[in-house]
Amino acid sequence: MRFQLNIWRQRGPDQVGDLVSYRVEEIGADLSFLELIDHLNEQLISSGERPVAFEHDCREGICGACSLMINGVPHGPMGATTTCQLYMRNFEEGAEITVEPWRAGPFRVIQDLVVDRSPFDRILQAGGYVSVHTGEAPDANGLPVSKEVADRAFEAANCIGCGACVAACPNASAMLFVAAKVTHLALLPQGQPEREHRVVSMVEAMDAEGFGNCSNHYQCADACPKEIPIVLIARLNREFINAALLGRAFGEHSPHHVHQE
Amino acid sequence: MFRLIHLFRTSIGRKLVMALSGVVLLLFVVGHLIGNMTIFIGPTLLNSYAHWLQHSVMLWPFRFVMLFFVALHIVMGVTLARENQQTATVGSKGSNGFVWAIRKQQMVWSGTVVLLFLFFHLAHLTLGMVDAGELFSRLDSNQMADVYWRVVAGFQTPWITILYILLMGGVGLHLSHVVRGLLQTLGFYHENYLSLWRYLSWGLSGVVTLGFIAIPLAVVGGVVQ
Ligand code: HEM
Ligand code: FES
Repeated sequence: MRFQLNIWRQRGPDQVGDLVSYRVEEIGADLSFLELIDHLNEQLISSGERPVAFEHDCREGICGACSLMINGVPHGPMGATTTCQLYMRNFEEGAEITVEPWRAGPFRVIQDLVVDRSPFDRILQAGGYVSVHTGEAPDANGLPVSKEVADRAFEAANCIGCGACVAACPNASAMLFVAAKVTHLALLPQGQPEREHRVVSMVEAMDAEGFGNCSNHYQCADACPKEIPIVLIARLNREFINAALLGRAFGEHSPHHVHQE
Repeated sequence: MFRLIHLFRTSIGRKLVMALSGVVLLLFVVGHLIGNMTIFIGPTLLNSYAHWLQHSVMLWPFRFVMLFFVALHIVMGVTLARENQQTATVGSKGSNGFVWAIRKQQMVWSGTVVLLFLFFHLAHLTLGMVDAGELFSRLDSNQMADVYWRVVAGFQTPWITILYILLMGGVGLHLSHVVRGLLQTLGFYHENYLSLWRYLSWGLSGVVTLGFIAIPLAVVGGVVQ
């Protein structure tokens, strides 16, 4: 197949970037989108140009590293798919495809298609630890969890932290991400001891990183490659309002415990 | 107390202010609609209802409370929108810019239309600044202010009626986004009730918007005269 690619090229964080057009030919229909960029990079290297920087790791849809805005849609047009799982057969022959990095205030562009997603790491760190017994492996059913709760928690735990929700949101809000992380542990018995502290710290960290406020546009859930349900945002609101109004440590000082490695 | 101040400094707390002040406005709008529907029963009922409102000791306290919530809602809405403008998406060249720009700020501009409507509506039917004349001093057969006549005469001017209906459309747009958002912000949005909330959202915003538009249409159509 043949494609016309318009790719965002930017040398460094403080440099001005722009879209640059490239033609690629003889692309197999079963190539993934990342392999398409690999192909382009080989082409660029052999002609002595700087290859396109982009992020990838597992290439099987579980790590969240691949993060491309494809024709203005995070992870491309398929829905419920990461960029690494998107195949060229999903595009039309000769199509013009625009590829950009995530566009959001808190995610700085480092180079080309790579953005700095460490704000997410800091939010996770603010969430802190869970208190569990270490030592011997626990009995399989020592801690009963109903199937329904386990399924709901797992649904939230599916979040791979890719940042598509932030990129899709007109306000660059990280509510869906934080909601998934908070819900996942709030539902399980292991998450109970730190439940209130966790939601307060994570929301405060989210605000401190400069993510926007949710305006209920629901674009995040549409863009999510893991189909994290939008209702989790309501759950996050519930958890947070509960902790803020009825919890113990809120407001006197910032209960922001930064996790030490 | 400090707890609440701290809460309203967080993003979720601010959304809470938006939603709670919005609920007050929403209750007012629904109450106002129910009151206005008396026009379809007849002049006597509408006029005695209006008379009762006008002479209530609670009239001014109530107006101040409403003013407070309207101001709070606007100040907080503008604050949130400005914060979002600063932190948000740096324009993506590939995305469909225009539609996006409109949808993105939907609440701000539809809210502004609500505000314009409010000014126009107060000037028109409460203060009588648009085409007052003797309309506002007219009394009905029970010696009460003839509000019924004021409405009927008020909608005889085509541009007023058209403006009213257009601005009401903006109010409808604000409301159509509001009910679901409200339930989400307050934490009631739950997978077991998704369809109920969706019907409630469309139902409530539809009934309110169409209900208010029905009045000028009924006047123009001669149903109410
Ligand atoms: C009929 C009167 C009004 C009602 C019933 C109403 C209701 C509401 C409600 C319930 C919300 C919260 C939705 C949520 O939780 O996400 C909201 C949001 C909002 N309202 Fe209003 N509102 C009214 C008038 C106005 C006016 C006059 C403005 C002025 C510009 C305004 C601007 C906004 C904005 C900007 C938001 C969105 C805030 C955000 O999510 O970022 N509204 N409205
Ligand atoms: S590279 Fe790991 S999810 Fe795509």
